[in-house]
Amino acid sequence: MTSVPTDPGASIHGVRSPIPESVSTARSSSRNATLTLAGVMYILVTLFLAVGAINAQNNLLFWLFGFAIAILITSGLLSGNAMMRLHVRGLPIAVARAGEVRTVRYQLKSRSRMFPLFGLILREEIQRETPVDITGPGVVVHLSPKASGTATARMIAHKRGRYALPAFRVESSFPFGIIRKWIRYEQLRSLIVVPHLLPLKPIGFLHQPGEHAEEQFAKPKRGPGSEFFGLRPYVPGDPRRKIAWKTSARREGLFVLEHAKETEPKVIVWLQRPSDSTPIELRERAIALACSLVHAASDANCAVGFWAPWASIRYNAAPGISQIKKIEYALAHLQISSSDKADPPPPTRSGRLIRVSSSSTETANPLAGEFAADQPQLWLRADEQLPRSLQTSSEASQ
Amino acid sequence: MSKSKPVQRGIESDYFRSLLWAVLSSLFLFALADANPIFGVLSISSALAAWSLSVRPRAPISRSAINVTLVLVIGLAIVVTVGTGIGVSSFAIFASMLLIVKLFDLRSPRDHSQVLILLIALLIAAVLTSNSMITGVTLLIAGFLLLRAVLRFHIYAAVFQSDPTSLSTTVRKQSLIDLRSFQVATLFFGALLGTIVFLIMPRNLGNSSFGDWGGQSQTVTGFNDEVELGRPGLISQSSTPVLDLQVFDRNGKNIGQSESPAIYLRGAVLGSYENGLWTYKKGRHGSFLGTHRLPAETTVRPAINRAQQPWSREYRISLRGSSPRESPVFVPWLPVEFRSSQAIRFGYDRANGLMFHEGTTNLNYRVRTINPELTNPPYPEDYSRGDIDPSGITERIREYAEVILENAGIDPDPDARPFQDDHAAIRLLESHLQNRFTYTLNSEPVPNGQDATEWFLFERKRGHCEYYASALALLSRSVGIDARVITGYVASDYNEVTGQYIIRESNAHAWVEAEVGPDKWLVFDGTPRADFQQIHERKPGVFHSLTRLYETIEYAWVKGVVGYDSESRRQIFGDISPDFGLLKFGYKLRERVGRSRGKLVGLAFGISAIVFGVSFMLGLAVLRFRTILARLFAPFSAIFNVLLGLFGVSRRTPHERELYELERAIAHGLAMSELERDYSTPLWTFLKRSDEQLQPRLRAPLADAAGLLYRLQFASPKDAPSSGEIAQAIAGIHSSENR
Repeated sequence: MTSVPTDPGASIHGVRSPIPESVSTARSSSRNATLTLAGVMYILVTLFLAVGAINAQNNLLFWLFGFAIAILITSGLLSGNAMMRLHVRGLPIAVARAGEVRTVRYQLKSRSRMFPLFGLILREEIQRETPVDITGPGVVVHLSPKASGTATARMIAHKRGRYALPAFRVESSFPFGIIRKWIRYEQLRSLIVVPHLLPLKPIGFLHQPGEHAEEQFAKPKRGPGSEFFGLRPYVPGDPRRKIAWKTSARREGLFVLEHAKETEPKVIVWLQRPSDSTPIELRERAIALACSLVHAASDANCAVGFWAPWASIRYNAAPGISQIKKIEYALAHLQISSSDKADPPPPTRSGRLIRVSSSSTETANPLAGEFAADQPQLWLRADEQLPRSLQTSSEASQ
Repeated sequence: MSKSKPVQRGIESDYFRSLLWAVLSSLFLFALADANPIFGVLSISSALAAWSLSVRPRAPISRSAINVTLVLVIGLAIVVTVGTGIGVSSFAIFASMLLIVKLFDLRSPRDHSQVLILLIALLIAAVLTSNSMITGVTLLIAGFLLLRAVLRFHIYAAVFQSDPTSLSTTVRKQSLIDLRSFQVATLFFGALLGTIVFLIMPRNLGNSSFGDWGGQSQTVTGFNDEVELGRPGLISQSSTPVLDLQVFDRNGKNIGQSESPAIYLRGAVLGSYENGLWTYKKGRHGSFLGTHRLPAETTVRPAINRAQQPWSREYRISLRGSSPRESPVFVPWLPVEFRSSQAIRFGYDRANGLMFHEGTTNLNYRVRTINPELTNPPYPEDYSRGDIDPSGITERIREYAEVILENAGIDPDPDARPFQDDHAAIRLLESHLQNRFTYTLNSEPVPNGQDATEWFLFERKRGHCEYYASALALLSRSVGIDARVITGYVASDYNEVTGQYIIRESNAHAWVEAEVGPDKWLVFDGTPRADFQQIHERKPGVFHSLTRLYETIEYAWVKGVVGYDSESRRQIFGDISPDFGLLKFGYKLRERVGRSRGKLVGLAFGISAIVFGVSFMLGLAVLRFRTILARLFAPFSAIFNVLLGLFGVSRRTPHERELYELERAIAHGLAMSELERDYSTPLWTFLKRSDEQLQPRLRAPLADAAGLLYRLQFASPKDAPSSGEIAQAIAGIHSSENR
């Protein structure tokens, strides 16, 4: 029953992670039934009924006592029987974002031939130190005999990283709340939590011509794209659909269309190595800021790259969602402890540079692509606040 | 004709609807059991008001208002309890008030569960209040509705816990079908098991060993064991049945008849008179010695059958709901055999012929009697009339009685009058009262300073049975004939279908027994016959027929359910009916308690009860505050673990022990390289980073151990390393040290 953050840098450094990527099958490891407080009270009341019936020879109390016993049996045996024949599987968990609610889905199948199931609650087993909260356990209102169903739970992770979700429980106190029955299913799943997305002020820097403008906005080149580049005479082997029929009709000979290679502005987010004295919250904030800047650049139709050589991360600028996912994945696993590796800047030709530092003694200039995590007033939207996990103790106390 | 589409309800509204029905039925049930229509109207209308104002619009009133109301309700309950004592009725009314307050405060499943607990309490209170058929049937309906609400509540609570916004999700038709099936199955199973327990549970155990607990609080009324003239005493118009009576002759033939004379069932013998108050007086022979245990089916023969006459009538009586405390056994005069089908505590006043019982609320018994008119004990030679209590006999009363007798030619002087004339004398007084006085149920206060009987005889000349009985007793005493006032019931309402007399509260009556020979006491009743019949006999009519029909059905309930006892059980299961040794155990226990050793047993029970109570309360406190307690005891637990460690005892599980051993081996390996583990860094990263500082021979064993540690912590049990692998890894580190 463990769920701890594993080595975030493990996969980056090429060491095999002990948490498997794939989802194993769930198997029930233990089942249990505990008497609830209401159940204790119920048993006492039942005993008092028995004593009262025997003491006063009150026949209706005898009957009521029998009925109370029946309720106890129903509560323990009959509804528990259906749970014993329940098969549950947790579905793979998609990547979650810190501070955002993520759903976890389960598949259930009842093999009971007679008894339906009601009011099932599915709950992940999460250790106290794991920064993940269950905001709403999964619930199954009803599952008919031999029927299948799904349940959705909601959880929220407060910190980026990679966590193991080793098991979950299916519990129910239906029908009378006297006995809480639960079955523990062991199914090791990993939860990757990418950094928070911080609400940033509009970043004008991305739309301004910079010092490497000539590199970024160079002449169009021939290549795959949607923009028109030019016409050239047809050579055997060219696909017919590329033939410009109208032009070919006007001119003599066949001509084919050529497209221009799409060239987005390139942006490299450089997460500078934090100093040892920087508080952990500022380092985490710098990572979240870098992640947010990556998203902002992508939203501004830039090809984004990420540079953190001190953590062995060097991603050249590239467009597309897969690039963003790759960077986020790396950021989720990024080790923030001090590193003795060098932290050289990215090559100048790789794109416009956004520099993100954990702390800065000078006032950073976002217009020049400089961002400091300890100066949120310069980049955080005015009406927004930092997530609690990214606030330093002094900020949180204010 | 268009087919109407069933209304689709959400989870919440479906549960709320079932809760409303459960609340209304439970309140109605208790009002019915307690025969308290005012309570019923007030509580049900309050519940409906709470429902429409607060529950349905989901608008609970503020917490502060609720708290103030709760304080008021608790205060009121304390005042009522101080005034009337703790009783089922006052408890149930308190629970109902709490219930209605709680309906205004339904916010979370916890509030709902409190409401459901209060409803269960009301159901139990109803059973403890009345065992009538209508209560039983309503209990079944209310129980079903409560069961329905409880089942739906657990679904509601689960959804509320997961996502309160989805409470309006429509319940699927199949879910409703399955839920209803489950509900019916549970009810059926519960009813079946309840009936089995009801049938096979051995009776005659316990018998009020735990006081009144379990007995009905609603007991026989109408009857009073003292008479205070000028105050309403036996006057009750209630038609609630209190007794069922069947009469058999010696051949076992039911000889009850509609036209037969009324049967007088004695309950109290009142021999002392003072200022209009008749009270119980111990007989001349001293007699009442308290109660003693009487096993079931044991025949008691009161020693008042001096004539040794064989019994002529057998009366089978079912007492519906008497107090489990000392209560009279209603018997006709003159009883010669008594036999109860339940074990009871039995007491007998030989002089007055009174019987008492304790320990059960529904007593079934059989009494055999002789006709006292036919007993003619011989007059001893030295026979003299006994001393007569002169209290209440004034000169005016004596003169009045003497005039009546003289006018009929009977000598009023007891010394001169032959003993044989006593019977005729008192008959004369009886008929005088019957003919010259007017019967009325209207009560009027007795004028100050006046004796109530004198006032009745000489001024008002109107009154009810108590006045007639008092007057007849004093008149006969004034002429030397000993007489006593008897209170009890008269049986005159005969049900031809069931062959039984039904005695109701309104059949409570007072009459007189007078001694007309040596120990020959006969019944006399001064109440005018016509008025007597009007009061005690049922009038024909449609309503009467319907009532009779209902009573016929209820009689089956009383005989089959309420009156089910060891005899009925024996008839069904035979003599070898299973009692799981409980009966034997019960008798042995009772025997021990009865002996001097009983004190020790009682003490042991008392101590056990206290220990149990204290442990239960402590257990509840621990459950409630377990988190805080765990935090408080954490340092002590750690110290305890260290102490255990010193003695080589480990409290770790095998899994924890393996983890500990691996961690210790790795720490040892690092120490050999003069490194200290940084616990803020994951082990893999730490090892990789410290790669250069690690002694080369230790790199591989440490990496192996770290891998095993991860697997042990995170891998599923089937991928977890074996003990052998772990031992090998640990040995690997230690052997590297020795190289």
